[in-house]
Amino acid sequence: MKRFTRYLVLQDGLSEFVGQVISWITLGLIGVLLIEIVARYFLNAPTIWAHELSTMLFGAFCILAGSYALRHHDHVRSEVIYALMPPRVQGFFDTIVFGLGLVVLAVFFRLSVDFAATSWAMNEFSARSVWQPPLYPIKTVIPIAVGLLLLQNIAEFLRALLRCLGIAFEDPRSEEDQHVAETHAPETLH
Amino acid sequence: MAELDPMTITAIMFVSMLGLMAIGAPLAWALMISGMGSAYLMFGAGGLDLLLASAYETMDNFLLVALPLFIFMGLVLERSGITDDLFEMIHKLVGGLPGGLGVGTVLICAIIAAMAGVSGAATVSLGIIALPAMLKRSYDKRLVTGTIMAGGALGFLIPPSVLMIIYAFLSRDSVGKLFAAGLIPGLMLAGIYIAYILIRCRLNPELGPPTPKAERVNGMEKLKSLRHLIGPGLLVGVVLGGIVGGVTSPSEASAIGAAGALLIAALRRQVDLAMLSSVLQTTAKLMGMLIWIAIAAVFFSKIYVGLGAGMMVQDLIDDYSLSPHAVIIAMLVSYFLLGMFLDDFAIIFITVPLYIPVVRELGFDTVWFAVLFILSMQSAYLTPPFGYNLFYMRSVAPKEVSIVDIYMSALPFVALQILGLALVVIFPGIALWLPSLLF
Amino acid sequence: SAEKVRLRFHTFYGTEMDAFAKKMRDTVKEASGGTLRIQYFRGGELVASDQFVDAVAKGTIDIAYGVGSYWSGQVDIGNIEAGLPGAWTSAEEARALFEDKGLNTLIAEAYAEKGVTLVGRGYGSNYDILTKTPINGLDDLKTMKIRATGQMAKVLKAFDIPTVYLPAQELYIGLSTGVIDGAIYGGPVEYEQLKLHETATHYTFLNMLNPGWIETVIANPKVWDGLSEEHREILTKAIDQYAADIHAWLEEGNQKIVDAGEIFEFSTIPAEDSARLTAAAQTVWQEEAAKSERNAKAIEILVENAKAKGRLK
Ligand code: NA
Ligand code: NA
Repeated sequence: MKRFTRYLVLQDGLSEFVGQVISWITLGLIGVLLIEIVARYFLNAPTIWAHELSTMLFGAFCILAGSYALRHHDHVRSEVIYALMPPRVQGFFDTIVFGLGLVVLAVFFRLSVDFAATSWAMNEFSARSVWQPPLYPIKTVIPIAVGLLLLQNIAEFLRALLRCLGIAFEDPRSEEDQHVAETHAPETLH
Repeated sequence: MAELDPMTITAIMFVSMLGLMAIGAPLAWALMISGMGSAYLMFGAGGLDLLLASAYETMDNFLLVALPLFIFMGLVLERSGITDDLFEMIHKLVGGLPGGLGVGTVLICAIIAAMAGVSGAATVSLGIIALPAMLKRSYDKRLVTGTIMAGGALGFLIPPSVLMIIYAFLSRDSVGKLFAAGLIPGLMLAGIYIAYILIRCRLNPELGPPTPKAERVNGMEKLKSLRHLIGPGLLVGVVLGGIVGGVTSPSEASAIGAAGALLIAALRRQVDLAMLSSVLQTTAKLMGMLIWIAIAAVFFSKIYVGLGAGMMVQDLIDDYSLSPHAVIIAMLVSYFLLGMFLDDFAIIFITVPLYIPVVRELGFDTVWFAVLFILSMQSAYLTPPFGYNLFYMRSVAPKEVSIVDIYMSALPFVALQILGLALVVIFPGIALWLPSLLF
Repeated sequence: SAEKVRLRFHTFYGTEMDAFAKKMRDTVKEASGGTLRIQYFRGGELVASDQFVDAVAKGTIDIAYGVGSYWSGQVDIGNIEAGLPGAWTSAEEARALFEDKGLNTLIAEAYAEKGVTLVGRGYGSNYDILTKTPINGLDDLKTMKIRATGQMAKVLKAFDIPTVYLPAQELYIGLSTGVIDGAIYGGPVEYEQLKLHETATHYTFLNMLNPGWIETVIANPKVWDGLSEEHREILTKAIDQYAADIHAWLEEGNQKIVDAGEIFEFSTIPAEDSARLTAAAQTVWQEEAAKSERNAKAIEILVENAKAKGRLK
């Protein structure tokens, strides 16, 4: 099972890395909007790009953060019944959920590749403002984000499957899990 | 394509989704799985593309840009230490009154609510600072625990509000109008809490004894302590003034708020790389969760509407010829029940697309309904078994406050929230007067 | 019983056109003896309006009713089709351009390349500017912030008039709070529906383009060709009627508001400013022409027509 643990370390590490890097986009978002405010009120010359650029930054940031949230158990779920079950039943439930999730995300991935490819093929640009930015970069972010989420979903599925089968393995995340369960993380602010 | 009546479609989609949630599926997964299954079975492969339409539509929305920034702002304020200052101020100002610290706590909650778009900021920071301080001065533990949890929940009602932004995204109302509509009901609810604390401490002074004479300060000191209001006052003025008074779009105001909160924290020397990256990462996790729910829920409701079941609720109302107000009350009861088990984001994404067309059809103002919805969500934060402020409180409360204390302390405040809700149902002007005045 | 055909018809309009939608659905159902049914979806219900071409090509929806400028990033003739400033001055003139002078043929080719079939057309209505303070001419706009999109924004830019984009639902607050000073979005009816008259009352006819937008109906080729001759005929007729109803409703509604003269103060931009706008629009025409050979042909048709009408030399 050593190799499985190594795989988990790698997969969790990937989601962690992506999440930490993209988390800085928030500061960029603040910057872009502040520039627009200054340009509009102090220079009386609203930018033609701030509105669409901030929307694109937002969209890319949020959808890419999906795998990061999954890696940290931050996707909202109701544990009213789940928490009452013994670990192997929980593993069984998770196997079903992430097994179906695998199918859904695989389909989503396939569709999103087409979506982005179509946009590249037609050299698509935005028709909303005079800025007219190309749309294929933001549309390409979707298959990347869905792919990353799919990878993390595979890790969750395998973890659940082993738990369900009662096969012991060393989970690199278990220490954090303990912590989360005990404190219910006050920082997950709502 | 199979021919199914709306009732059957509704049953298939909602039962499978709730079933998945029951076995612990993350909400986004439950919605995507049952949405995609239903789409494929009843709509054909073309229906699957709606998942992509939903993803792109959710990402391509300027309105939602405000979400991460208000969340970031709330997180920064929570760690800025501003609550310490505010509590020190109310201790000096009203500590001498019976129940004064409780009243002051509600006021602090209202101030933080007017800065932050989320509910946890006040609950967590006051749970850490104000709760032990009031316990030390022999305040009744259930009274103060309930006060902090209920006061914290004001975060979504007093603008800015993350929930209102999501509601606006779904109902296509204007964010500015919703913000304006939440202000007076929010202050009214704060007033109800204050009145409740004062009355109870009047009847039984042991619940909130005045601070000892030795701790009290003179008038000059009191006046000086008001300086702690400068920072928050400026921030509230700029952000809310910007939106409601009309200088910036909500998204731009959220950027000013985020930068302002960072400035306040920096002036209090609370900002370093570790704090900043931790706040940014929490923002990323929350947005990763939120946006995937949004994508999945938008997809789910598109499939539902696409299958021709969108008029189900409307048909039910027509068939049983329910009175408009009975329908609204039924919806609010459903919110109360859902609020016991589900997360507020889950509730908004599942119900609002379903309810809004009906509310509109019945001739009600969707801005008014937004306030009713948020008021219901306030209770959802306090009702067991699933309530965020119960969790936050449990995670920060000192040992002497038991879980039973926490649950029991919430009950009277839930009753007060229902009173507030009833007032807004009976007198819609409480919510609608300010937006009609401003816009 | 005969097999029922159900079609997903997606419009970009909201609830305001529900009555005409019902009429279309009922007509189709009756005329086909119940064998053809339309499932009607309003703007944004299933697919965003700027994604219509893709959605129709893939069969997510069967028929879409929208405006070419929304998807001009995908179909480059879309802007010309929707209406360039100065292109036509009446619905009759526009109809002749599309149907008799060959525009529709060129446009249908462009859509076929993207995997959809052009099956109908609607003629919009007024598209002018609404401002908080009266404008006496173009120069007054230079100190204002105007909400405008696409080609209109480009033309205003030529006069150093700052434009911004805001979604329709934010126009009211944008105007009432001064984020913007004016908007170019539609005609009197649209402005009244968004309640904009409560915040901005000065409606100025730009005399640049009328109708201000042209509507496009596209269908999935497999679905369309798979229909029986009879069904196709019933459907075409019903869609044409839907388009005509919308056009008539907008025109009458606008005229009523103009005649009543209550909620807006109407004025017309000075003739020399209209001429300046039309001249500036030529740059936009040439930009569009440069995009492809087909676009160049379409622009040629517009130029010839404008010369024949004496608007261009
Ligand atoms: Na708030
Ligand atoms: Na609850």
